[in-house]
Amino acid sequence: MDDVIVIRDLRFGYSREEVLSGIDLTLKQGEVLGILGPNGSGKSTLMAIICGILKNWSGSIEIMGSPLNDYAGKRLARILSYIPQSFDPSFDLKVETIVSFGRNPHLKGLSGPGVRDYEVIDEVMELTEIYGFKDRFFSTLSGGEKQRVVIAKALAQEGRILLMDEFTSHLDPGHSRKVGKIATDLVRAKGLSAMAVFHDLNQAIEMSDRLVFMKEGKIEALGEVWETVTPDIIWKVYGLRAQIITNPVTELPLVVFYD
Amino acid sequence: MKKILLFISIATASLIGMLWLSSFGTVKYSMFEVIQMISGSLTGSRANIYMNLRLPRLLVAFLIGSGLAVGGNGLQLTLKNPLADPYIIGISAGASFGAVFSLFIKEMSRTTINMDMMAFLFAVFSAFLTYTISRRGGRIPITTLVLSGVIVSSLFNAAVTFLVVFAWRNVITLHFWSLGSLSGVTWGDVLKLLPAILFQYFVFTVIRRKMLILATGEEHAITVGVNPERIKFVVFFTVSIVSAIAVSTAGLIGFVGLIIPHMVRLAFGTDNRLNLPATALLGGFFLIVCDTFARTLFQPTELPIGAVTALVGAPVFIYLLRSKEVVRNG
Repeated sequence: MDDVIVIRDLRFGYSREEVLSGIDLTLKQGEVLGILGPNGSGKSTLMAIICGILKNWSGSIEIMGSPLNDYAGKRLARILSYIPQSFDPSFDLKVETIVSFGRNPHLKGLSGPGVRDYEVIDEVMELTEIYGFKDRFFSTLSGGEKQRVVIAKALAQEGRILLMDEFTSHLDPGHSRKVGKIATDLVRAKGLSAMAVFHDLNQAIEMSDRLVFMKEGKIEALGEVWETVTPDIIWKVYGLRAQIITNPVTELPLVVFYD
Repeated sequence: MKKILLFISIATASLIGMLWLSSFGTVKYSMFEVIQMISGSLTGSRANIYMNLRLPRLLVAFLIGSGLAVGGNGLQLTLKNPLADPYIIGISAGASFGAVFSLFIKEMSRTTINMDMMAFLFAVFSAFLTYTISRRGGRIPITTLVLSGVIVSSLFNAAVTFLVVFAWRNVITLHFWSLGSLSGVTWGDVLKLLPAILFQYFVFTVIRRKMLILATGEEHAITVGVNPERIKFVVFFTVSIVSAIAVSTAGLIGFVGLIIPHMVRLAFGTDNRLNLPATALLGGFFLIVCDTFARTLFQPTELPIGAVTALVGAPVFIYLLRSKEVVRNG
């Protein structure tokens, strides 16, 4: 059981247009897999398929050894948590209420959360440093605080796999780093596995164990950070000229654009 | 804790208010008489009028107001839209068409079809019609929902006019169907409404958590294991039952399901436990207040109750349309 998600020849399209044309990908136990690519390359579609939002795809997806289609709604939600780009409830809710939604997949039938559920809710609120404002309304929070609430909700699901879709891209650099670090640190501390779509190349390099580059519904490169990040692939995927230098602090690749 | 105190004081004030308002009318009672009559220690012809006309009307107003408000609350959460209510999205107009259609068939062919059943069928139909028209890529934008509701409503209202004029060659009965009235309701109506209102209240209490999850977005609901289609179906179905019985009892009454849930959200918060009970209570009390105006303002002539609720409701609708809640979801 080293691979938590195995995707083979995944295809998906809206009417005639193909969005994903033959994706082969595995997510290994315990890793953070960063997904990169320009807008419209199919990154978010891939995420939406894995967490059950989009249907009518073809190919094969296995999660923890069983086909995705075998999972009913709640069972999938006990394994997978999804952190979207932005979370925007139509009505104002309290922070604690939103975090408690993460317990839904664990509740039986129509009964409400019990003692153990509230223990989990309190714990994840501590971990994401939002316990102090659990009684505040979501709309009164800053962007960084909001995303931490959403991360807490995802952690409350206690899934083994976290899917994150550009979950820091609405934040300023400071909050983006802080929130990103909270998420990836928790993934490592709790021994989870994560797939994360990134907008910022250097942030992806810093936070991921392996990287995937996508373009027009296909995978262009997949592998360890040092193997995948090359001037060629950046030119191919983004159409930008770049130089790769070594980040003096982290000793990871640092992409510098020059046109 | 403050919210509980608020709820208790609202409940007490409403109860006293209801009894007080029931004393007004063509026959006027004192508060003392009202209490004596309800407790059964005062009888006679005056008490008879109160017990068989005034009191059932009071209760019907409470039940309908409460049912429409709770229904509006449910529709707003599941459609993620603070402007949804049975009247705005065309459920009531559909129900009214169904009710008139059953009368029409009776008039034309002397066969009887249950009025509530027909009202229900068309209520469900119009709910799904509005929903289908307004849905845009998995979302229901405020403007398209309101516009589709207007269209579906005017379609069914026009059809009602055609049927009425065709069958009875006059437009007098139209007033009842387009603006509503509680005059002439009986204990039988109370007994018919009560189970439907209780059923809706029970269903919405049980699925409230899932409705709140759905209010945060359909995609999000799926990722925490809630099936949006199933919840929406249950809500539409339940609201249609209540609207159908309300409409066949009292005609079209708009805006209750819009104003009350909004006020309760402001006072109690969306995710508060007291939200639903407060909605039911205030909805009922609100319609009693409106009905008292309808009965007494120009007595002995009655004002259609729908005109009273619209007079209060339309400004609230305009206010809501310009509020942050709507701007955010536009």
